[in-house]
Amino acid sequence: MLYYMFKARLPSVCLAGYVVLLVGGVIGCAPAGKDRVAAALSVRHTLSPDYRDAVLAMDECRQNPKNLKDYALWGMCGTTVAVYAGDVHDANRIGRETFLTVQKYEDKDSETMAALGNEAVKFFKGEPHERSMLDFQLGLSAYQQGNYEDARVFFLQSLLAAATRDDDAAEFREDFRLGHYWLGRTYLKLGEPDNARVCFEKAGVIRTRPRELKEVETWRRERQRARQEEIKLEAICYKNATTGKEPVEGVVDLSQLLTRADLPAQLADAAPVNPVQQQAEDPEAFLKPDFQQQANLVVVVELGTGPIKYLAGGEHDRDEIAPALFKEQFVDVYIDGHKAGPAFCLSNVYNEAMTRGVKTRRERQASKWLAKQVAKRMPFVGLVAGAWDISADPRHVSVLPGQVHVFAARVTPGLHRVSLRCSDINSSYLPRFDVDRNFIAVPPENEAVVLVSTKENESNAYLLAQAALADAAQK
Amino acid sequence: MLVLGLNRRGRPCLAVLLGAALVATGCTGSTKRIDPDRLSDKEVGTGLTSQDFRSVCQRMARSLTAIQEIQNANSPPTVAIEPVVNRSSELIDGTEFARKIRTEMIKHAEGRVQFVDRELTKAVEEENRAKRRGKVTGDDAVREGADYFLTGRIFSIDNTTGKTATGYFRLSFRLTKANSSVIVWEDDYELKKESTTGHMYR
Repeated sequence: MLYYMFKARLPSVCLAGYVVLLVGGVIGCAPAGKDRVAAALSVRHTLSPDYRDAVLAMDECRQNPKNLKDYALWGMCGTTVAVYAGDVHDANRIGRETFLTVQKYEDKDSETMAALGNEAVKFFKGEPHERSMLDFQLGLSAYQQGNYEDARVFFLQSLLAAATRDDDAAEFREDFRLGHYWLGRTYLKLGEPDNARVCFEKAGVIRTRPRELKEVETWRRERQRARQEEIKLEAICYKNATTGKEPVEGVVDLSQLLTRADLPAQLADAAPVNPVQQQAEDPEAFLKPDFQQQANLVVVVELGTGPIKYLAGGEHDRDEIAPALFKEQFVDVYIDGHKAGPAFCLSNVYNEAMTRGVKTRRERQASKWLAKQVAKRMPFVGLVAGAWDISADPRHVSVLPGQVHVFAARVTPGLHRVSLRCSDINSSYLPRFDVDRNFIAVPPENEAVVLVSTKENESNAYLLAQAALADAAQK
Repeated sequence: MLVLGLNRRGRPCLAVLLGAALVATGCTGSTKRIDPDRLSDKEVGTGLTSQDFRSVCQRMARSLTAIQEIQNANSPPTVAIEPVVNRSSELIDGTEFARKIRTEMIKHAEGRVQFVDRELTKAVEEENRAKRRGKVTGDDAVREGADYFLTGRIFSIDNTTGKTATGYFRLSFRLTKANSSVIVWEDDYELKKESTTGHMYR
């Protein structure tokens, strides 16, 4: 019966069947919904992110057979978000599978196709800085779980991954200072202080990238202008909030131009007793093995968002790296309201991305571009050559932090409050970036390792601004 | 599905069949069995492979079986496996090497050596407790102590220079007398690998 019913309307039924089949196929291997994935990818920018769903959405994308060539991309994103959310278990699970795939998987056919045409068809294995961050995250997860042997392996791997393959970046092969630092701490845990000393020495070596100082100068000038504008807007905002028809109770004036040097020794609600027993004020003191051995509270601070990869050139034939500009550049840490010193920048992800080495890829991309231009001008072949896709590969791990700073100190065991106060590249204090984390437990025997991220407008306490106002009133 | 895709003559529509084939091909993979001693071209990098694992364990088992302490013993000596320390830059379960050596020796040493299963210590103790309480039948036997410990260490040196990465591995194993800590046997296996990073990943 059904057969005859359908036979009467066969052309439309054929089309419908085809659509149903394809939809069925898509659902069978469906990725997580687009909105969900977008929400997951913007987790660093959201004030109240759903970490759990972000990790799950990314893991669904990773496991989807349709996304095979992006398996490691989603794995790296998922691991980063899991670490960001403090989910060590999922970070380990997703990260290890991704790590092994990046190490072992090879698809020569897609590599050949990518070499001849669109480079995004190859299996994604990430840039050196993305691979080293994955290994670092795995190392940190293993370290936090007390699995120091695995932590050692992953931190070592992070250093090997960061070693760029191209000769134009040869002097930056050992520039992953974050990996050296954590490997040093792991060696201390394994009872190998000599190896730890060497690692801390390497963590202290800063290599300046060509044009870096010039870029920093430009950013300083731009930030100076932007800061003045912000201060004006803050003043208007405060005025409107206090003198409007319905004044807002408890509103705080954030238009004061405070600098890092103005940060007080104690916050307004500091504990009566300073819990900090040992602290480091400069990188040399911070990287001394004795200090690191004594430190029992380590705060890893992630700042901003990582660099962006984009397509450049008339044929989209080149991939370039651009920084994701963010305001916070310096972090000062308070423990229970007492100033405990700065967190030291051990990884600038943009700098690491810019020193990835591009000699081989530029030669390849330029050859393809040239071949296409020649082919386009040839009779008959030109028609086909116009459709030849020689795009570069813009895929990148967009959820990486922009910088990673590390703070360490020896504090009295017990529960503590960790407060971060951020400043911009010109050392101007950024009251909207205050971060406070309560109930950080430092055990009597071992140590506490905490990962914290900065985010604009996350905290509404603005204690420093309140303290500054109180001081001003007293004067 | 085929009924949905019939054309005017009642034959399956080509588009539907093509679509079905595409979907089916997209969602299926292929699996084939390969010789564990054969180096697969899918194994990339400088890390250890199944081939290395088997070669190391077979060579160590042969070397260990030939020592006087095992060949000339009046009764088969008892060996316990201790964790193998992994000091390489690779994620390796070192003790799995010792387990494979044990398997090889049990298979080929014709009973000249015996091993105690320390991984089942907890289960054995529970069983003995149950026997003592009379909950299960059998005697509460005293567990056999080890005459020797079999252990080892894996070490590596890795280098990355330009497009080439090298990995050197040294896998050493030793048999230590349980009552005196004297090492009665030690052997090692060294290998060095070189791999080139693909053009597209530079």
